[in-house]
Amino acid sequence: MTILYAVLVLGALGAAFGALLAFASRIFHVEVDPKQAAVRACLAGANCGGCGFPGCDGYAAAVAKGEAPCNKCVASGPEAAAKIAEIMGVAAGDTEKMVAFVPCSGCTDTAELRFHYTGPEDCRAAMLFGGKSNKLCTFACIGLGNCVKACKFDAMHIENGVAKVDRSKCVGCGACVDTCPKEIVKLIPEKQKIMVACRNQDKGAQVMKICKVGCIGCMKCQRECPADAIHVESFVAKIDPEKCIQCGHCAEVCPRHIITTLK
Amino acid sequence: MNFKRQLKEGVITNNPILVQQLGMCATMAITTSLFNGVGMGLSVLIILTCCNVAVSAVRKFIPDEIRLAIFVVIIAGFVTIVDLLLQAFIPALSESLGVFIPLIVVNCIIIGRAEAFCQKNPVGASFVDGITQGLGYTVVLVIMCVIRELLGSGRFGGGLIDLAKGITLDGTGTGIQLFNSDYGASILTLPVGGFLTLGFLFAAMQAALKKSAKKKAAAAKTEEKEDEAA
Amino acid sequence: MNKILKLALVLFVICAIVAGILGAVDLITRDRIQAYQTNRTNRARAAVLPVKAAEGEEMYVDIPLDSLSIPATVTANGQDVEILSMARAADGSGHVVEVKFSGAQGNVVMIVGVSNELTCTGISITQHSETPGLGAVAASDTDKGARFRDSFIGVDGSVQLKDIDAMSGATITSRGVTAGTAAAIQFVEAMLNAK
Repeated sequence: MTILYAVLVLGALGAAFGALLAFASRIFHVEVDPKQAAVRACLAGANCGGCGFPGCDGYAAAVAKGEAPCNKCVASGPEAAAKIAEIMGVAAGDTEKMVAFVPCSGCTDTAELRFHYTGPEDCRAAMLFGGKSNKLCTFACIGLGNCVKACKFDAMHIENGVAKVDRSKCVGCGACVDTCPKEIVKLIPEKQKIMVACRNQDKGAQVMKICKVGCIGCMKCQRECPADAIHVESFVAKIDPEKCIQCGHCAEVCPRHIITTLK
Repeated sequence: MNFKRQLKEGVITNNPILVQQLGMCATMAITTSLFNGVGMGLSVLIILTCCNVAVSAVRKFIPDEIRLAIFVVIIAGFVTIVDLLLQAFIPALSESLGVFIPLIVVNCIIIGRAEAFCQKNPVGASFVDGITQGLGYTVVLVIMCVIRELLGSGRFGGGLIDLAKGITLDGTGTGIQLFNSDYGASILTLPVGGFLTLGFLFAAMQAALKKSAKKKAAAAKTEEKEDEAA
Repeated sequence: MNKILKLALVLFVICAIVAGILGAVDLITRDRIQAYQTNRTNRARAAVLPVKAAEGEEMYVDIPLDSLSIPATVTANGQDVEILSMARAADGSGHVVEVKFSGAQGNVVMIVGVSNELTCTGISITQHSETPGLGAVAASDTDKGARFRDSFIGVDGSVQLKDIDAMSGATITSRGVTAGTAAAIQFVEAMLNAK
């Protein structure tokens, strides 16, 4: 008898609440796009903002609405882009892996200082004292680590007063590029292994006074390059990644040894 | 359903208390004697396993709107069953644990595993998950009880072990007095002690996990280097 | 409409199944639990008023409080004491009264044995949250606790704090226990007078 009583009471309560919940779900109904959840599940979830949207949820929402391309998330890799494209029913664009690069070699051994800076560890603070840098070279990396703080993947480090990228950890989200107050950091294709580690546009004689390794625009690399990939513009050498054949010859002939071979 | 992997996860890498940090309220309040700790741990293990199986069995028939209501009804049902059985057959444990047995209904571990695991996995895997997570829970409870009792009052096995009678299920076992309780830090037997002990256990677990992660990273790097050299 | 019916039905079925199983478990365990509870109460009562009874025979006869014409609260020694339950010893040797009063850290529940001569035969504290080492000594198994409780044996309904062996540093608890004992005896007296 007690069993029957219990079954009836609890069953009635259950039915009542079930009906109430059904009613409530109809009144408070929110349209949720199932595609958004599916896209979100493909993403890495680091919320790095590299896609330009507010977090992974923001990017998933934009993709589901058709407002964003499928290959914006570099952190999740090309497989994620392919999966997202499948969900959205479009062909995914090719994501070429980009990594960050700091074209400056002005470390404590090589760059002459304009002044000794003591203060908040922020590149922008050091820039307040005029000359755009604590180093004599106005194009140099200040080396106080705004990029390090911006990097969520532990790929940026300050070594000897200049920023260096750990290419094994860099996912190419571009947070460091956005945060650098001197706009020094740039994204290059990962397959480009030869880079000129300097961006100084001063004349050669001037450069030799303020930095031991800065590019002087002597044009030796330009003359020696077999692929016509490197040219000196405004007294600094620049490599065209489309033409470069990665032979490394320019690095061998550079008198300043400023052209580096990246791993 | 991979028993070995799930066992390792349940007891170490995804331990419900030390890693997921769920259900800590009961952990800190209960762990004053080994009798309580073992009793509570085994109760949670049984309830967790039963609930996991039940939720997994009905997972395909549950409409989304009443999902939570159904989970709670199932969990409350099993907790009441265990409560009644304990009151009838091990009344000393029921009195000792007091209000914490009904509180198992809202223990985050059970509803957490139901939501996170059993909804998407078959009955077999859910059953194993219940057992392994329950084991992990019990292990941590036992460790906390032993630490708090031993350092707090010099006793081991209070309520459960008796030098004369062996293992007692009526809570009268006086335990083995390893040293005079006057020399114990009785703060450990108070709720403060629960917080402190759990805090230290968290720290120890995190340190161990970090070390093991570093080892793995180092091993992976040397493997990479060997591959590159090869 | 369809959705409401469907959800209601699903929840009804699940609740019904769970309730059915619970009802069955209750049927199995109810007698055992009841027997254990009675046993436990009797043991607590026997600690204050031992009763000679054969195995399985009723030891104490419960007297429902609402069958009495006297109120279930007594003010003794200026303190309000609530009477929770009352029973008569089956062999006629006296009564056991369960009282609740305010201690130092919250309510205290105590069982008092009252003889036919309206004196205390013993006290036993069953629930409290008093300070360990101070008020909690009254309920503990230590010598101090036993001495405190034994000092109540033989007192009558006019017992004051000075008549018993109070615990130093636990005056409020000692006062409460004294008031509780006095109230229990006064309640039995009032009940017998009202008959």
